Amino acid sequence: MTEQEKLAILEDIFDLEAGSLSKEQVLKELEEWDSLSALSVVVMMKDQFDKKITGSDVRKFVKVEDILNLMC
Amino acid sequence: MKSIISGVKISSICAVVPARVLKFEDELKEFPFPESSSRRLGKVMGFREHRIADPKTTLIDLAAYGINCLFKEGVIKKEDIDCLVFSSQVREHLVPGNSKVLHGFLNLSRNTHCIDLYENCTGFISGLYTACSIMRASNLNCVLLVVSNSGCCYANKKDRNTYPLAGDAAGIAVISRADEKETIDFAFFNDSDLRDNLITPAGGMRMPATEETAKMHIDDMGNYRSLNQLHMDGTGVFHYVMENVPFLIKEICELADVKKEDIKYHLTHQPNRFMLEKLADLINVPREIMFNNIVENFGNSSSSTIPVNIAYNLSDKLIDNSYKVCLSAFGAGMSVAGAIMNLGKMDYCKLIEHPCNGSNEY
Repeated sequence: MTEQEKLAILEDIFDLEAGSLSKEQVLKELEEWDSLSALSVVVMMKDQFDKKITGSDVRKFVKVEDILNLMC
Repeated sequence: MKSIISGVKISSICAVVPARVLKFEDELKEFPFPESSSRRLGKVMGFREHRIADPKTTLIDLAAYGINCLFKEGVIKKEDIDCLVFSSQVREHLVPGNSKVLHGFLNLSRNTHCIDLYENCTGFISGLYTACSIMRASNLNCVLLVVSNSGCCYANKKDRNTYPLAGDAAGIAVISRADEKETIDFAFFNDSDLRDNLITPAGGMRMPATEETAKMHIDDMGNYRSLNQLHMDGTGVFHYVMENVPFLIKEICELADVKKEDIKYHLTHQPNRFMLEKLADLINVPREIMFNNIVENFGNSSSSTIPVNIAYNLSDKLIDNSYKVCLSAFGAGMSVAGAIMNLGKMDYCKLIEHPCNGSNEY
């Protein structure tokens, strides 16, 4: 999967316009980063990548890039 | 633990919700988040309306109203109640237990045995197992199982993680004798290593409530909470349910010698719509037979959501028909509980509203 495709998955979760999300984006500064998008990321990681992300893992995410790195 | 109890059935259910309706749309402005973000959350989780009693209507009032309804409708007689099992994690007083207080409100016979179970989300199934066991062990005829949870009027209105789904309700199930070949098959599993996923840290012996524990803090995701209030790790709870409920259902189908396809309805505990939709998809069960509509209409009233679910969704059908159903519950502990039974041809099965006017007369 390309970085573009991964970003598109996250843009869908965050309900953002296609192409607007950068991997450098700090999550705390993103208005759309809340408990719902965090849970949606957890569900997506399980459904699409068969990976279990815990609440503790989520708390360690700083930038969008940290999520992208796990999407494999 | 697994157990099969024969010769028992649920013959009536009365579920009680407060008449007071609160709307999510009106509560949005209290949350420390943009309204658009809260609306998105509401749409996915199923936050729309919830029923919260006024501070003067307690869990005992809701339960008493429901039982008075059963008396008035001629479903049961006071003197026929051999035993009252009250299952809740909310208390009318610290001492004495809820069942004794309810016994007093209803002026029951002094021969009626009263038992209190301190149970949370799995309380209805745990209570059902207890009520059925007592019935068989002591050869009784009528045991009342009561679950009641109220007090959401005291919940933290700024905690978007828990307030929108909070709801008050009571459920009364009449347990009666049945044909010996009728069974209720139970299974229970406990994963206490995960108990911090759903915990109220302060207010008990381990950490008594103080001025300090009452102070509000903001957590990582921006929710307001104090140590005196319920902490829920949403991700932890989600994983727990997705990993353990399919296992529970498989185990209990094996115990009951029933194929998953033979289950007509899955009557589950109601945490929120999102989790139940995911669960139905995961265990490959049509969403139409695993109802998920209780939180958006009434809120999550802990152990009461199962009787509310049954009465709201299947009321008329259960009077004339009988179905093979699987009850399942999951939550604080962390625990899962399940029961498979034939449910139907009931004497009474309705959801009623407590007027919250200071009277428990039906």
